[in-house]
Order: sequence, then C-alpha cells, then structure tokens
Amino acid sequence: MEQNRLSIEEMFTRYPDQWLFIVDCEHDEATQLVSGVVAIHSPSRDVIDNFSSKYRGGAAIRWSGKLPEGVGYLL
Amino acid sequence: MTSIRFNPNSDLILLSMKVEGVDEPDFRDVWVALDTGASTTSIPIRTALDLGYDPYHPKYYKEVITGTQVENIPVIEVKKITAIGQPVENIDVLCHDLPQELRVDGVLGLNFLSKFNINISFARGSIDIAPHDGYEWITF
Repeated sequence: MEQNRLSIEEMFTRYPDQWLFIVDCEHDEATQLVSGVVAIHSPSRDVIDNFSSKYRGGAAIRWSGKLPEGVGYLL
Repeated sequence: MTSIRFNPNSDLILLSMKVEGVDEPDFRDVWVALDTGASTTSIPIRTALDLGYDPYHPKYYKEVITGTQVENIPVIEVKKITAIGQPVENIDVLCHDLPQELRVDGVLGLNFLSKFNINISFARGSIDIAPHDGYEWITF
C-alpha cells in the first residue's frame, strides 16, 4: 500500500488510466476530493471492488482517465 | 450557499458523492453524474454491500423506466449522502450497476436535487446550491 498523501491531480498523473482506491481522504467544503492516499490502483475495477469489500472505513473510488470519447450518454 | 466548478465542455457533469455506511466511520466517495432526468439517486450494488446495507432485502423495489427498458430495481435508505457540500439524511437510493465502461458509479437525481435551489452556469462552469425553505405553490 502506498503511504504518500497526494493531491487528486498528482494521483491522476502518477496512475493514469487506472481505478484508484483512495483512503485517508480530504474533502473540501463542497465535498470535492482534494487529496488522499492511494491504497491500491489497477486497470481492473474488479480488483478495486474486491479490496473495497474487505475495507472498513472511509474511501473514495476514482477512474484516473478520461470518459470514453466519441460516444453519447443517456443515463 | 456552496459553489463548485465543473468542466462545461464535458459530456457529463461529474461530482463527488459521499455515501455514509451503516456503521461510522464507513463511507464511500463515488463519482456520479448530475442527472435532472433521473427521479432517484443511484449507487452501485457493490457500494451498498461494502457499506453494510442489504440491497437483496431492500426497503422496496421501484419500477424504473430507462431509455431502453423497464426494470424493478431495489431501493434502500442510506443514512446520509453528501454532494456539493450539502448533506441529506435518510434518503432513498436505487441500487443499480451502471456499465463499467461508463467509468461513473451512479447518478445524483431529483430526490436529492429537489431539496435545494440550484443554479448551473455553463458559461462559468459553476454550480451554486443552497437549501430552500419549501416549495412555492405554482399552478401549471
């Protein structure tokens, strides 16, 4: 497990196009994630979900890449 | 009032949504799309399970009409969700997995948004949100 606190921008630069499981989260007053510690990172969401299922406490999950391009969304 | 910035050129308005678990201090901060076309906020089934909720024995099932089909989706009541700096306690959420390719875990829907006055400025790329005291009676 990584131990260094990183800003969200630093995380996305260090671990591009991966799912991040972030602990020790710091949020701003608008609930936006400012920084945290990347506990694990993987291109596979299943790896992150498996870790999350065993983790007790607060954590954030983020994709560090871009949204799929050239597609539309109808949610 | 709380304000946040968003990318007005993005195809979706993406936000942090903090979902509190059954037991403190469990929470998951998930990435959701602001969706005024969704009646109810949603979270993934796995997130509900991770936080100690039981989507397999839900509060009720809700018939949900999506763009392509009608589904019965479990609804649970979560202790609190917080988005754009605004908390809402004891709120119903749909437990529904969006396609992984979307890279987004859920939607922030009207059952959260309607509790606030919200101004979305695409010119400034900002959202201003503040609680309101109630609904004015408007005749349509």
